[in-house]
Amino acid sequence: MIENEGTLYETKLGPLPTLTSKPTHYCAGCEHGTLTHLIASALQDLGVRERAVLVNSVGCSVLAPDYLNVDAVEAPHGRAPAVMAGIKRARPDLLVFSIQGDGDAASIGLLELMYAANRGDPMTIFLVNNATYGMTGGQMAPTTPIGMVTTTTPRGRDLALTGPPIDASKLVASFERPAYVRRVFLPVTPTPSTEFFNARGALEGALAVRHAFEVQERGGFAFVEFVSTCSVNWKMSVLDSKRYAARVLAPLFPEGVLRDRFLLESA
Amino acid sequence: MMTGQTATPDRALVRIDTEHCKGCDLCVVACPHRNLRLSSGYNRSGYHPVEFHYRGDRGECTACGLCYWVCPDYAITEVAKLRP
Ligand SMILES: Cc1ncc(C[n+]2csc(CCOP(=O)(O)OP(=O)(O)O)c2C)c(N)n1
Ligand code: SF4
Ligand code: SF4
Ligand code: SF4
Repeated sequence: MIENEGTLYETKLGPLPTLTSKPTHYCAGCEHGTLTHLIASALQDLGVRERAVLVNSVGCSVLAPDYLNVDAVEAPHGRAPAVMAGIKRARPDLLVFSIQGDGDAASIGLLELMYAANRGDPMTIFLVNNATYGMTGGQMAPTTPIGMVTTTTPRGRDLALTGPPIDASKLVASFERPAYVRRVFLPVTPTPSTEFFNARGALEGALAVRHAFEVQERGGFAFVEFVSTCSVNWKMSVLDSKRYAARVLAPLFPEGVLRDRFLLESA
Repeated sequence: MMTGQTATPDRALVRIDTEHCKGCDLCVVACPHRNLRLSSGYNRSGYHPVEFHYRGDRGECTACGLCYWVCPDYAITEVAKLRP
């Protein structure tokens, strides 16, 4: 409840104790920040902050422990799933999660991701797929669409030279044991013929984050991929990066629930 | 630090942390009533922070919370509804 100029208001959404007050280093309009907020909200709603351990990746999310009010361990680049598996075996009471970039999870750490998925270890993985190596300045990533100009593909990504983009969600879902695999389009989406953008992605994302923690509490492996943007390295304005994501990334990485063993989506 | 509180005409209240805002425009384009806009002033980081602005033609703030959820800097710190 808050008072403003003599009038009483009932708080519907408020500041979260699961967040620190530190301003983020993320660029303006970046989904890394949005996801941080969604995770903080889920940790708060589920009342699991005390048991939560962030196993940290290398990439723009490397500073996430500065923003989330949880314990954290830094893993070598891409190896968060292996570190989470170890923590979970030693301390099954803890709730482990990672926030990984596509370079981190789908390139240098692909093997650790695949083995963790194959074993189906209880853990929660959030993949931020912004189709590039953000932190190091916009090199081609495994998820870069064909034709996209990056610093290492100045004439656009060449199919003949590099093969097609890797679909991490499909790959994880190709294993038998993962209990929850979902892909969410997180950026705001332009709506045809209006000045508005649709914010559905953030709402769907909030639900997916929550489910991904609930799945681990039931002993399952949960993987959520967030199709995202990187306006700075894509060299676009913030809103143009959302338009590009909707036009190019959304059809390449379609949204969907690829696995839902505990039927959380229909509950 | 919490700064820049702004209220809507009647039904709802949105609190904005103008020092955390990076002026990215996301809440501006996501608000179904276009009740937010970038201010002409600067915050200490040099961004134009968002301010509440009741445009009038699309309806008042309904405390729908979309601005709260899309903001990457969680600079929309509170969304409240008039007590019935
Ligand atoms: C072992 C090792 N190799 C390479 C690097 C350099 N490096 C830092 S971040 C990064 C990739 C970041 O891209 P991504 O995982 O997609 O995350 P983003 O920054 O886009 O969120 C690389 C290659 C490193 N830190 N450690
Ligand atoms: S470099 Fe890209 S991914 Fe990293 S914070 Fe900036 S916009 Fe986000
Ligand atoms: S709560 Fe909804 S209506 Fe009110 S300012 Fe935010 S987005 Fe607009
Ligand atoms: S979404 Fe957040 S950071 Fe972006 S303009 Fe709105 S309040 Fe500022």
